[in-house]
Amino acid sequence: MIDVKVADWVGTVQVPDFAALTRYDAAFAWELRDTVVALADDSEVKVIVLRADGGDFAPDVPDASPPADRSATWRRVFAGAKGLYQSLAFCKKVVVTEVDGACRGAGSALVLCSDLTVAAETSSFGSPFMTTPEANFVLAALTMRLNRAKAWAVTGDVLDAVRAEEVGLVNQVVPGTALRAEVDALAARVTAMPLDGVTMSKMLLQAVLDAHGVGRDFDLATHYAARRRRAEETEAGPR
Amino acid sequence: MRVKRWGTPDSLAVANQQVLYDVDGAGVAYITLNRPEKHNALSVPMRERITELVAAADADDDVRVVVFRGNGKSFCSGNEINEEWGQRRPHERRRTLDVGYRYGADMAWGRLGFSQAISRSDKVTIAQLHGYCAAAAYFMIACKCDLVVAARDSRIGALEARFLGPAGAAASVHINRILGMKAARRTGFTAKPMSGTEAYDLGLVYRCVPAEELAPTTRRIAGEIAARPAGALDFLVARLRAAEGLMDTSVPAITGLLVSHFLQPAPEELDFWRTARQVGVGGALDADKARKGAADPRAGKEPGS
Repeated sequence: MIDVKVADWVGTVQVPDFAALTRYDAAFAWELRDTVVALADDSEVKVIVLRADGGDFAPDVPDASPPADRSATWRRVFAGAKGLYQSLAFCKKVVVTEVDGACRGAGSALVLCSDLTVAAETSSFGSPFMTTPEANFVLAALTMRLNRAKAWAVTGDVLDAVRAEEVGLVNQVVPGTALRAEVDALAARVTAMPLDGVTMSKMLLQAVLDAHGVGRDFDLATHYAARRRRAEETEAGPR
Repeated sequence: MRVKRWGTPDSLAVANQQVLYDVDGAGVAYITLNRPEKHNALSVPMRERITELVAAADADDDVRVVVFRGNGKSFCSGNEINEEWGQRRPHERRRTLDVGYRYGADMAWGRLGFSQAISRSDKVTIAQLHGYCAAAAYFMIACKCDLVVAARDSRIGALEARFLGPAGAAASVHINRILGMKAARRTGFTAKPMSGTEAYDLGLVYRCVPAEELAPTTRRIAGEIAARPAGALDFLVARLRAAEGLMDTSVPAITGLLVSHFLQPAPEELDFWRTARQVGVGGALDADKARKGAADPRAGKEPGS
C-alpha cells in the first residue's frame, strides 16, 4: 500500500491517498510513520515527498471519528511524541506534500506538519480540527496567521487552491498536469543544500516551533480527543 | 468588603443603555455599543457591562455566537479618555502607578480584564466593524474576537499610539500573530489606520464587504456558525482557546501599561489631555494632526549641556 523510492537525495512516499489516517487505520499510520522515520535516518535522503496517486490527496471521510477509547495504540500511533504527526513535524529532513484534489481531515494535518506544499489548481483544503483532534492548531496559526486559522476551524470553510496560496497554506499552485514535475523540481532544489545544513536547520526549527507552542499543542491531543468524544456523546456525531 | 465600581455617577447610571444586549432565535447574541454621539467610546462602566454580558452569554446554552457591533457612525473609537473615573486623587498631578495598574490589569490588558472576557469566551465571537475601530476597540475587541467582518471603508488601528505610545499595538502577542510582525509594528509605530480591505489582506478580517452589506453579511455568517451542532462548536472553541493559551496570545502587555504610565508627563500627552479637556477628544485629535512631530527634549540644547 505504501510505495517508497529513494533517488537523488529524495525519498518519495506514494500511496493511493491518505484518507486511511482520517479513518484511524493504525496499521497504515504506523507503517507511514516508520517509513518517514527510516527515510529521515537515511543519510542518502534530504527531502521526503508525500504523494497520493489516486486523484485526491485525502478525500473526505464523512463518518470519521477518533477511537472511542483512549487506547495505547492511538496514543502511540497518532498522538504520541513518536507518533506519525510529530515524526513529520519534527522530522530532520525537509518534508514536501504534493496535493491534488480534495485534502480533508488528516490530509490537512499532514500539510500543516510538512515544510513545503505544492498544490494542483483544482485542489481544496478542509480544516482538520473537527475530524482529527491530533491536528496541530498552533502550526495552522503560524502558517496562516491566527485569525485565518480560527476562521478555517469554526466556519468549516473549504479553501480552494488560490485562497490556500494567498493565506500561506501552500507555497505554489500549478496546473494538475504539471504537479508532479513541479514537486520534483522543488525537491531537486532543496537537495542542492548540504546534508548537514538541512539537518541542522530542521533541528533548530524544532526548538523554534516548540518555543511557539507547537509541541505543547501536540501534548494536549489526548485532552482534545476527550473533549471531542464528549461532543459526540452530546449529539450523535458532531460534524 | 465590596469591590469599588469605578466610574462617574453619570457613566454608571447610563451604562445599561450604552451597551445593549439581545439574543435572536438563531442562537446569536448581539452586544451593541450605543453611545453614537461619542463614536461609542467605552467608559469604564461600559467595559464592566460588556464583561458581565459576555459572562451571561457564556452561561446561556441557547447562545452559540456573540456579535459585537456599534450604533451610529463608528463601531467604537476606543476607551473614553476624557473621563474622570477615579483614576486620580485630587492632590495628585497624575494618576499613580498603583491605580494605573488596576486600570491595566483589571480592565484593559491583563489576564482578568475586559479583553480576556472576550478572548476567553466559551462562544464564537465576531466583531462587526464600520467607521472607526480605534485604540482599545481595535486591540481589546476586534483583535480578541474569533472572526472580524468589516466594511471596506472602515478605519481600523492604534490611532492612540501617537500620543499614548505604540507599545500595545506593536508588542502585543496576539496582534503579531494576527497581522504578522511587520504589519503589527507598522500599525503601532505609525498609528496609521488600516482600511477594511487592508485588514482583510493582512489576515485580521474574515469578510470585507460594502457598508450596506455589513449587517446582513455578519448575521448570515453568525447564523451559519450557530447552526453547527452545539457539541461540535463547543469542542472547536475549547480547542482554539487551549491552543491560544499555549501560544501566549493573552500575555498581559504590562510593558504597554508601563510605557503609557511613564509617558504621562511627556509633552505630547500633556498637550493632548489638556486639549481634550478643553475641546473634546475629536478636537485634540485634530490638533494632534497639526503637530509636526514628537517634541525632542534635547532641542535647543547645546551638545553636552
